[in-house]
Amino acid sequence: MDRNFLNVVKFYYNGVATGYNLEEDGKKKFFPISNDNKDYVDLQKWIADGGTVVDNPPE
Amino acid sequence: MAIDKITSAAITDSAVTSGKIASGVLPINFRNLLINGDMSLAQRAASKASISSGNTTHTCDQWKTYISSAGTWTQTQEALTSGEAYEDGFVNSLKMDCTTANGSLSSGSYLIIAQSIEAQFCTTIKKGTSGAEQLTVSFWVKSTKTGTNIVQFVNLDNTIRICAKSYTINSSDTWEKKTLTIPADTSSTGKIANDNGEGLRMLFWVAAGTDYTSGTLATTWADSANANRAVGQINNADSTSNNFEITGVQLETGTAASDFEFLPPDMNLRRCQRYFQHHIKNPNEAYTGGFRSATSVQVGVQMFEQMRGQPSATYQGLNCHDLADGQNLDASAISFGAVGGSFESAVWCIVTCASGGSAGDVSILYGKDTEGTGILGFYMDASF
Repeated sequence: MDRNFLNVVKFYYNGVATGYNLEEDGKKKFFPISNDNKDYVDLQKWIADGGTVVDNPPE
Repeated sequence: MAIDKITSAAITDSAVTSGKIASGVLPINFRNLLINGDMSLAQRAASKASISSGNTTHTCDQWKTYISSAGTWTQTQEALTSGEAYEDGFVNSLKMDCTTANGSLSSGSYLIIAQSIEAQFCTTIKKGTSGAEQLTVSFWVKSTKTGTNIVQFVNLDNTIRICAKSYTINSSDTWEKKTLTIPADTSSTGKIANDNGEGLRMLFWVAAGTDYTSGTLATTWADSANANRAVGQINNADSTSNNFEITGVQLETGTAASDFEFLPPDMNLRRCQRYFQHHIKNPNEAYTGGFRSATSVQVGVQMFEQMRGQPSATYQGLNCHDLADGQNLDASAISFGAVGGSFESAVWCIVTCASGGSAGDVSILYGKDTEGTGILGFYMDASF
């Protein structure tokens, strides 16, 4: 099933990306970067299908 | 040589030793491969309306609903007060109530209630080896519509293989106990890995389009073919009068169904928390941390139970209290920082909040119904 993610922002902790903040079905969520995590896997499919991620890596 | 004409009364108690009890005579603990089979725990919600699409756990922990073009349903964790399932000790069930019917399913329609079993918990099945075990599933079911329904199994590791059995609802809206035995799968292509991935999935079909019913039901393990998964399945979605309800679901090795293994509620909760946890569910629950900046708080969170894998977080109704100056600042985002590079056991939660804190001040992250939903805190979700 296609999921509808909004306002996806990549999150960095001490300079290392640890996950994504986003909204889905009106709820705020955080998905960690892990292939064991079903939400992260779905998000990667969404990105591959053209979903937009705000990525402001640390300087 | 064993003598078969001695009566029980002739055997002294002290002569009965563990060595004289054959393997399998006494039920083993944790024999149920499924978790929350009695539907007694629903951490997310007790009721969810307007279910018409998606693959989600709505109410009872571990039980996921897969639905596409099969009507609209309300799912509840039902409190039982009468009936044969209740008399058998079950006080909860998972109930599906059809609120918008679909009497003409499309070929790809489906409605399934399913549970996935973590692969490393499936090793006792020995699936994919010469010593593979048969499996027996027993459950209580109550359905408005009489006729044939399907229980299907699938392994997700290696070659995807399926096996399915049918059962019959004989009486409308009446609890019936069903027992089905699944043959062993000795094919090495059907092995299940010893890891934290999804090993085996058990599915209760409620409705199925012809994509899943047009072949021959796979009553022995076979490589997956959609057409063979739910042959004979009736359409329980064809009337808003229809309900479909299950409880007491137990899956165990062997050919006989033993009595359902009721776990104490605290043990059942802990087993479910490997996959889903609700932190700060009440206003008086809190974690202590500190302000990193005017808008950022860092809080260490220990998981109640080590999770299957790195969890997702869903959050709302949180506030950051600055102990030094008494400010209460609504939280707007939670992110994870690594503790030892992983999040299964503990996380640094990085909380973004309204401006007003002072770096270095001690902070308390606590529940506050800032969105007016009545739901507080954050869900940690490491389910399949």
